[in-house]
Amino acid sequence: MPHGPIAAASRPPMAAVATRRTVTGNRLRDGVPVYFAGAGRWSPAVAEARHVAEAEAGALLAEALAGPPPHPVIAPYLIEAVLRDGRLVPLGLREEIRAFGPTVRPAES
Amino acid sequence: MPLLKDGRVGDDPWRHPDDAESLPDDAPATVSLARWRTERDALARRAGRIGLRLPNDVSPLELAEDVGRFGLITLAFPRFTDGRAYSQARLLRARLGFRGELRATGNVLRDQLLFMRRCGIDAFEVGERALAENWPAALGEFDVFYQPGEDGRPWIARQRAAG
Amino acid sequence: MYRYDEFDRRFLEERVAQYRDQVRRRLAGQLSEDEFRPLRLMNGLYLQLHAYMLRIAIPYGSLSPAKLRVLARIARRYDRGYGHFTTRQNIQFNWIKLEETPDILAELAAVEMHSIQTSGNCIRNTTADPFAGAADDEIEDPRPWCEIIRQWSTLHPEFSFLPRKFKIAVSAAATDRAAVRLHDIGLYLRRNAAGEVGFEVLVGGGLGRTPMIAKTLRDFLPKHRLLAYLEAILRVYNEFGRRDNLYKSRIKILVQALGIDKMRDAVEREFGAMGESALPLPPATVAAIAAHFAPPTLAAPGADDETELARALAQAPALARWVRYNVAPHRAAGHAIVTVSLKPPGRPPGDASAAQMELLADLAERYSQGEIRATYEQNLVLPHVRRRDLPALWRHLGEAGLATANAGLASDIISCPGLDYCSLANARSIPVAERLSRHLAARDQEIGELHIKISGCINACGHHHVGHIGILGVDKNGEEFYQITIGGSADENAALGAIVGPAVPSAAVTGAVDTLIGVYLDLRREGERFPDTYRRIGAAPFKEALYAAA
Ligand code: HEM
Ligand code: SF4
Repeated sequence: MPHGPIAAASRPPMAAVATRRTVTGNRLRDGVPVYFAGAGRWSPAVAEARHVAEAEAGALLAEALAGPPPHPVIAPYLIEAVLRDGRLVPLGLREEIRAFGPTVRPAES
Repeated sequence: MPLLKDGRVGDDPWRHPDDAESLPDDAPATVSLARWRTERDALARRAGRIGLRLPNDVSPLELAEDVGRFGLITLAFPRFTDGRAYSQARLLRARLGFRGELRATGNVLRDQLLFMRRCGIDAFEVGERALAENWPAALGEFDVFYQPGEDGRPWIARQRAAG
Repeated sequence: MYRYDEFDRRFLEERVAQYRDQVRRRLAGQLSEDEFRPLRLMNGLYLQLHAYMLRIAIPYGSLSPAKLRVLARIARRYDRGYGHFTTRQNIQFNWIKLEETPDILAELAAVEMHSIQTSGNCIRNTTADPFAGAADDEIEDPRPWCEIIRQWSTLHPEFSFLPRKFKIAVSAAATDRAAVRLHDIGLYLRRNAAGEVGFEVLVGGGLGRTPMIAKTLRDFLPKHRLLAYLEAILRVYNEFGRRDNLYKSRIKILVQALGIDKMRDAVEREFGAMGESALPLPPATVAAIAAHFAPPTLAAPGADDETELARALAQAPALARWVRYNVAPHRAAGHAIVTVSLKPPGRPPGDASAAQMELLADLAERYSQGEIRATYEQNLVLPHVRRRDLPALWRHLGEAGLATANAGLASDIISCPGLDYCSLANARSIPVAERLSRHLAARDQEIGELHIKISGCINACGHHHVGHIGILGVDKNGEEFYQITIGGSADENAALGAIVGPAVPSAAVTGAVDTLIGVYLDLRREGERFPDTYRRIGAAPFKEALYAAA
């Protein structure tokens, strides 16, 4: 599986790049990592995630958590991300792997 | 709190006064283990039925002499992960021959009822959801058991022997 | 192999129906995640980084072709075409959808499989010697006892909410191929002075944050008292095991706190109080289960079998090498036990594709009496192969990439899924294993037996503590680092490895392992394996070589 951003993104962000905040979690029905896209919508594509500055993070999470049970996403939480060449990249290896998939190729099927 | 017993959800006829309160004369009542230990003789002479609230970190074997006096023993399940009272229940039934009501209290969940029942617990303190979610049905989800139990239902060794 | 009777089948149908209803209640919003998590975990369903992960029990490692074909089908239909064999003789699927899990469990039930108790604080899948019933060094087949334990532990009403997970392993052989001493309870079938066969019972082994080797609780337990004795141990553990701290709640910590002698007193007291008639195992019951494991009828070897084989070996050095490392002696003349390596160099350890599983099912039917075993070393075994058939089997395996001749060698690496899949990981494991196996494969023969084991965090799913060389992923300020231990061993002389020094960055792991191997090759004496050399010379030469340069 191609895994472009890993190596570059695991470096700490350069001071000039402002950290953004976005909300993620795993979807209840299939466990797929999804990102809050606003207006009640969740997307498996991190590119569609709504992202805000630190100050608005709490409000974004509250909006993402709203709604009657069952919530379509298990335990949504805030993560940090940066915009790199206009592309949203989550910070930290774990979140990167969640967003872009395993860094290894499984057995041939 | 509603009580699930004999396949029905109903009211609890027992009172559970704390150690500072005096016991009701007319109603059956439970006491803490500490109170039982200090007021044992007086409590034993009491007219109304007496029950024991057994904490889950005391071995029932310590009460071997006394269990016959209780009409009810309540067991504590503070969290679903804390399963000490399952062993207490089996020891009370199988080792000490306790015949009164054994009641699960605390965080009692639908999907644990059958484990509890198999260990000899025959009453369950449950929340209001128990009716809406048909908790009594959980006790009938299996009729094959790989271990002997304390609820009188046959286990697999006997079923197999019977062919 | 054990075949379900009508009761086993009914039980499993009831279980699938119960689980289907639990999933329905969750998806309908009647159960919160907090309420549902323990229920799904009791059916082996975890939530991982990319999806749910389903862990399916392979009881004591035994598989039939029909079972393996259903695993292949699940891989294709519900996953991404492959599965991961684990160190606990389970298989894990990494890309599972919650809403499909009831159907998966129904497919498994049709071939007498399930995922019950592959997670949770209960008695887990009982593991056993993968060579059981075939090995030339065992005193009797341990599988009937594993099956007896499996049934007794299934939804045990008293022991399903223990302080922590509980693992039992059984072996009846001189060589321990089941890592018995690393289990909460380890059972060795032994013969006593009077010639009777019974169990040596060990307790308190385990890996994780505080690794420990099990100690002997009882030298000899008559076989028919097995379940009563297990119950006595579990009752003591359920009463006294710690529940205040996740990391101190395994039985090993209780054994450590009480000391083995007090532990023994407590267990024996309970065992005595239970009485002779508790949980009886009448001979007829045992015999009925043992009948399922009757040895296969193996043809007597043909007169020219060995000369044929010798000719094939002489013609194909690759075949000869494979026979040397992946083929073990069988108790029946003219037969052999074949290890099918799931460790091709540079690939994820323990993974098998659906096509590979299907091929193995076919080959097991054709060459191995319809039996396949999973090993804790994340390989598969064909236990009953006629020696004459070895060249043909090897060719078929080779066509599917399954003939890697490295069983027990340096490139036969154990690795957990690590950060590529696991939500608990600190660092990746599989890429480290891939780099190492690619690098070491060419030197496998020169190095000889060597067990490298990798875990992505301290939970130790990859058994790093007991690797000859163990590698543990740690997180240092967001960077992947790896702590290296040496001198561990998982066999009958089980030992925990010692940390050699500060953790090294990911890029330095292969070099570090090379250096350690270099010291071993320089200083080993004839016939010494890595841990033997380590025990003789100590850690100092390894530490010096590794850290002096820096
Ligand atoms: C990918 C999801 C997995 C999760 C979430 C997971 C979780 C855990 C946890 C929390 C422990 C520590 C238990 C304790 O300390 O008491 C553990 C131990 C263990 N796991 Fe896993 N594991 C996973 C995969 C695996 C795999 C793939 C294997 C086999 C390759 C495995 C085999 C084991 C073993 C052998 C232990 C050590 C047992 C012991 O402490 O005695 N697990 N696992
Ligand atoms: S050792 Fe840690 S990283 Fe590896 S599978 Fe187990 S829990 Fe996950």
